Amino acid sequence: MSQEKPSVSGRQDEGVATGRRLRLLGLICMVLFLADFFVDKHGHHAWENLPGAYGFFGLLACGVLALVASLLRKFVERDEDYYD
Amino acid sequence: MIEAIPPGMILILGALILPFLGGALQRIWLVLLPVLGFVQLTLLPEGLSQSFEFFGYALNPVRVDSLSLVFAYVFYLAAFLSVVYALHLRDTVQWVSGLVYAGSAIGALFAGDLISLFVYWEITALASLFQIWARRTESAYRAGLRYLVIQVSSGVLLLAGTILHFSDTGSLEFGALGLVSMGTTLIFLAFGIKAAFPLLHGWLEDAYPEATVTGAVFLSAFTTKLAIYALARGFAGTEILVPIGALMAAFATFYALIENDLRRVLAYSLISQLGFMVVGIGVGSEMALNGTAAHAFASVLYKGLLFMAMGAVLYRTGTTRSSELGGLYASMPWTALLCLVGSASIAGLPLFSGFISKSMILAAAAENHYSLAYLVLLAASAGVVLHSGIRISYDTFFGPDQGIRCDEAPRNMRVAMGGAALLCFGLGVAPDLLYGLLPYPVDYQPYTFSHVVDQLQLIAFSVGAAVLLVRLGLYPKARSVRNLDIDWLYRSLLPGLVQFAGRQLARLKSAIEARALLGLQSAVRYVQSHHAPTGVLGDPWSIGATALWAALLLVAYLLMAYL
Repeated sequence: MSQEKPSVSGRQDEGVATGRRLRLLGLICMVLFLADFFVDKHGHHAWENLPGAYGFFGLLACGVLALVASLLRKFVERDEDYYD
Repeated sequence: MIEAIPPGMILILGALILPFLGGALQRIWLVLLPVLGFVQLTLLPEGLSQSFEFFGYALNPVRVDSLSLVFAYVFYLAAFLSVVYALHLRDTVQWVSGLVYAGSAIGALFAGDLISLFVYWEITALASLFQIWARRTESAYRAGLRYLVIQVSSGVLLLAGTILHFSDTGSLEFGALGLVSMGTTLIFLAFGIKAAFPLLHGWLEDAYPEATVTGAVFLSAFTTKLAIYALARGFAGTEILVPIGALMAAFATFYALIENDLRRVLAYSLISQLGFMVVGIGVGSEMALNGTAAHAFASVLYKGLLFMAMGAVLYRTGTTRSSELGGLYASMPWTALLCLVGSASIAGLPLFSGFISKSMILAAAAENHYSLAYLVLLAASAGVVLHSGIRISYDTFFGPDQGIRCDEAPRNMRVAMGGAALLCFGLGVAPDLLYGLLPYPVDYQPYTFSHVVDQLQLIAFSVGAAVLLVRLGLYPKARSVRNLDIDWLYRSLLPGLVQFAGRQLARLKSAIEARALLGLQSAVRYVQSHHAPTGVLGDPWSIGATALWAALLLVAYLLMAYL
C-alpha cells in the first residue's frame, strides 16, 4: 500500500545524520543551553525562567506531536487513490 | 485624481484589458498593474471615505484606515510577486483571474459597509476558482466545484447575516460587530469558513493542492488573509477565537506532519499559521492585533515563497510527493536556497520575518494570561520546524537522492522567489519597516538576548528531536497515502449516504409493488371464485325455474300489499 523512504537521517552516508553535522547540532544545542545561564529572564510563567526551558519544551513538543500524528494515521490513512 | 479610483479597481479593470493586448505589451501591462496599484495606495490619504446613497441605503465602498492599509500593502506585494512568478505562462485566463482575484481582495479590505464587502467577497470566490480549474484535469475540476460551493456559501451566510444585522440595528457599517445577535453570528461563520476554522477548513486542504503551479501561489495569499482582516475588524477581542485559533494551530500541525503531498503540507501549515492570527484576534489587545496584522503580512510573503518553491518543484519534476523527492539541491540550487529562507522565516529564526511577527502574538497571549493557548502555539512553533522546515526544505532538496535530475526553475520564478526571500529577510533585520505600518503604536522589541536565545533553543532542539525520532523509528515518515480529513464528509460519506438512501428507496418501491400485485391477484381470485362460470353467482339458471321464482315473488308481493 505505501512506500516509505528514509528521511532526515535514514541513511548513514547521506543526510543530516552524518557524524560531523550531528556533532555540530549537539554543540549548538549545548551552547544555547549554556547561554541561558547568562540571560536575565523574566518570563510570564515560572517554568520559562528555568535554564533550557524553551529547548526542552521544543524537544518534548516535537516528541508528542510526532507520536500523536502517528496515532492519527491509524484513523485517517487510506490508499492514495481512495477518492478516485 | 488617482484617489478617485477605488483601490483594487486598477487591477480588476486593468485585467479586463489584458486579453486584448499581445506579446510583450501584455506581459509589461501584467507586471505594471500591481505597481500602479501600489503607487495609488501610497497616495491614499488615511481617513479617506467615499460614501453614497443607493436606494436609500448608505454605502461606503472606500474607507481608508491603517488596518486596511497594512493588509493592502502586502496584498499588492503578493500580487506583484505572483504575476512575476506566473510570467512564463501562456494562459491569459490565469493572469486575468489572478489579477481580478487580487483586486477584489484589495477592494474588500477597503469596504466600509457590509454590502460592498459581500460583493467583493463573492468576486474573490469566483475569480479564484479559475486558479484551480486552469489545471484542466478532472480532479481539479471536481475540487474546484467543491471549492466554489463552499466559498459561495460563505458569501450567502455573509449576506444573510448582513440582512439580519441591518434589520436589528439599521446600520450596514462594517465596524466592530461582536457575537451579539443571530446576524453577527452568521457573519462570524462566513468569515470563519474563509479563515479555515476547524471543521470549516476542508475546502483549503482539498482545493489548494489541486490548483495550478502558479494558482496555489495566488490562492495562498488572499482569501484566508482577507478573512483574518475581516475577523480583526469585526470580532477583535471575541474570546471564543482564542480556543478556535489554538485548535487550528494544533490539529493542522498533526496533519502537516503525516501528509505526503508537499503542497498539502503547506496548506495545513497555512491553517496552523492562521491559528496564530486567530488567537491574536481573540486576545484583542493592541499588541495582539498588531501581532496579527504583522504575522498576516509576514506569512503572506513566506507562505507565498514556500508555495512558489514547491510549485517550481512540481513544474520541473511533475510531482510534489515527498516520498518521491529528495536530493533536488543538485538540480535546483537556487530554489533550494530560497526555499530555506521561507522555512527559516516560518520557523521564526532570528533575522527572518516570522521571528518578529509571531512573537508579538505569543507575547500578547502570555501577557493576557492565555497560558494554555500560549503553550499550544509554542508547540505548534516547534512542529513548524518539522513539517515546514525538515519535510518541505530539507527532505526535498537535501534528503536522500531519489535520482531525479531536472532543470532549475525558470528565471521569472527565481526572480519572484528571490523578491519574496529578500522581503522575508528584510523584515527580519529591519522590523521597524513593518511595525511602522501597524494599526497601533508598537511598544515591542523582538531582539532581546533572552528572546533570541529562547527561539534559537526551540528551533535547534526541535531539529534535534527530529534526529532522535528518526533514530528511534518514531518519526512519521512520508508515505504515498491519502489522509482523510473533514472533506471526507462531503466527498465520501454524503454521496455514500445518498446512494444508500437511493438503494433503500428502490428496494422499498419494489417491495410495495410486489405486495400490491399479490393483493390484486388475491382480489381477482376471490371475485372469480363467485362470478366465474363455475361459481355460485355465475351458474346459469333455466327459464322455467326463473319464471317460477318470479311468479312466487309476485305472489309474495301481492300478499304483503293486501294484508
